[in-house]
Amino acid sequence: MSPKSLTRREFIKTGTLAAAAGTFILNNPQSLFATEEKSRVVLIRNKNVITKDGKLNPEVIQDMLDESVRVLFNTKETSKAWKKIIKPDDIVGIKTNVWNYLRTPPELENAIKKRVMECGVSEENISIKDRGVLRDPVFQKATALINSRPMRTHYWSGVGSLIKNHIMFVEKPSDWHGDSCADLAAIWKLPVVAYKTRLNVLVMLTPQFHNIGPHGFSPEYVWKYYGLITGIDPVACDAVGLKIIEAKRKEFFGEDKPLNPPAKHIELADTRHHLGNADMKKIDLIKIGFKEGIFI
Amino acid sequence: MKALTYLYTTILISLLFIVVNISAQIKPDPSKNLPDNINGWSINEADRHFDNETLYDYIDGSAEMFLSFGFSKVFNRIYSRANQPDIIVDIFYMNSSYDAFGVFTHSVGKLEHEFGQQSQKTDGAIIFWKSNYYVSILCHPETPESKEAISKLAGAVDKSINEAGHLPEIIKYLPKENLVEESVRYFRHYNWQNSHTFISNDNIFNIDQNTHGILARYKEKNENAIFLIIMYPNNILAESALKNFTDNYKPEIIPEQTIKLKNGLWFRIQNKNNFIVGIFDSSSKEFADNILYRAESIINK
Repeated sequence: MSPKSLTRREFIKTGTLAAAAGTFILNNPQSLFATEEKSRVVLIRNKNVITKDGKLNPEVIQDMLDESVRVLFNTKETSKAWKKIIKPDDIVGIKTNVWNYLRTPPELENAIKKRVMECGVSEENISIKDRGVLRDPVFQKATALINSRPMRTHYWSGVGSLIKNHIMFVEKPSDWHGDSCADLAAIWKLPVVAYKTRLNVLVMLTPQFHNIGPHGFSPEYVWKYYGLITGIDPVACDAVGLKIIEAKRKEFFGEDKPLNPPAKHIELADTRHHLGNADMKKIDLIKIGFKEGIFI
Repeated sequence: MKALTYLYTTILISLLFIVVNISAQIKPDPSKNLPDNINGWSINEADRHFDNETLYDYIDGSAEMFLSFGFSKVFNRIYSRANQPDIIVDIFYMNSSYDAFGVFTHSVGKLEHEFGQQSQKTDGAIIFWKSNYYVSILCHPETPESKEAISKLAGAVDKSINEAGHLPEIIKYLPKENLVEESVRYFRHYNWQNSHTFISNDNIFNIDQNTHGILARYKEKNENAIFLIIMYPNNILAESALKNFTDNYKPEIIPEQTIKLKNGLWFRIQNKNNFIVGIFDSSSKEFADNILYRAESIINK
């Protein structure tokens, strides 16, 4: 099979194994075809990431990111892990989320950028952005993307997810809202995005588990989970995040309270668009850190 | 002389009638009655308006909810005060009171009646609906001062809307006994059919803007159930929708039979005139049948 025929699902499923074997997955895609069936996802939690006054500790965020990536790529050194996904001549777009009430923390954005620069990428070849990526010169030329956003419940798609975060790569996002955002995964096949996302970081520091009001936010419905979920497979990362949100809803409301509308775009990303694995049986979840209130 | 008096009287009565009629038709705009200052907060920047096209720019993640009902515009004002969080006032001009009610039912967690026709107060937020307006006043994080200010603002907006709105007709078909009032969810888009339990990802009830659906929870001691009622424009459409549902839901279901599903809970669905009524996740057969019996009695009246 030629590299051109590598599907996104194959890339995602096999990337971990290849990386673990010390193979630079992007230069040698033929090596990816292994028998690996599961997507590796790392969930890391650290209570020290949120300080007593509610701020984020940048050093702890950096440590959490570093450890996640080391475990994900099965390396002892952080730099070796990052070099498996980023080359010095890459042009890197760090796709974040700037939703007012719960954005990708700047501390995490900086932590990612620092490691990308340590791979030899010059600062002018790195951009951190959410809205306006299509008009951003770095994103326009990007050869690699890092995708990071917090998970939150969402009135139309069930949850705001890693899969959904790439909606800013289309000219008219509302065109993708049909059937409660069922086909968001198809965006990942558009040329501007396809095969470029090297790492996904789902922010679960203070996720939101319920919507209220027109802006969909109330401080009552976020909680300190102190977590990050990392993986190559965005579908698997989202599936893990979704399980945690659902479990929190059950605990908080004291009964099964399904997301409405359901976050079907995650399941369909697997079954219809073959972007990755949404089935927990096909996810190799590695948990690091404290277990209390882990929900999964 | 008599003829002249008669003419003047007729003209006067006609003019009076016109004036009264025009006054009744012109609804006061609640955004015009907002104060410039409130408890030390004052207008921070120019008011903003968003319509169908620009709503996405303003509310990331909720726009489709408003559009799935009927929405014309939203008025937004921000008040600021030194060392206090901003107060954000949003007044959504929905196409009808049904739409304002519908949006409200999907965006609240508990039900109160302090403002408008129904309201909810949470930490740093007051949300209510009245007439065709859905109103949200936010101030995060809440402070003692902001709590008082947003309450005053909510009162001012409420007072400026002098007419109450009608509830959708379908509401009257809900059996009242054991109804959990805050669980009522009104919808005209299939995206909301899973409000209380997962039914389907697809539009298996053929729901569109001409159908009126309600989902609600019922509870009595240890008994629980979810009741669904959908009103179609005519009997044929209701029958057709039931067939579509039966063909696409679970293979074991049979209309008009109360059955225990694999999850151990009871289910029943049936068609009555231009309605579909159903029970999902009932803790017992008796509880399910009783709710449906009462619903059918209301339909038959």
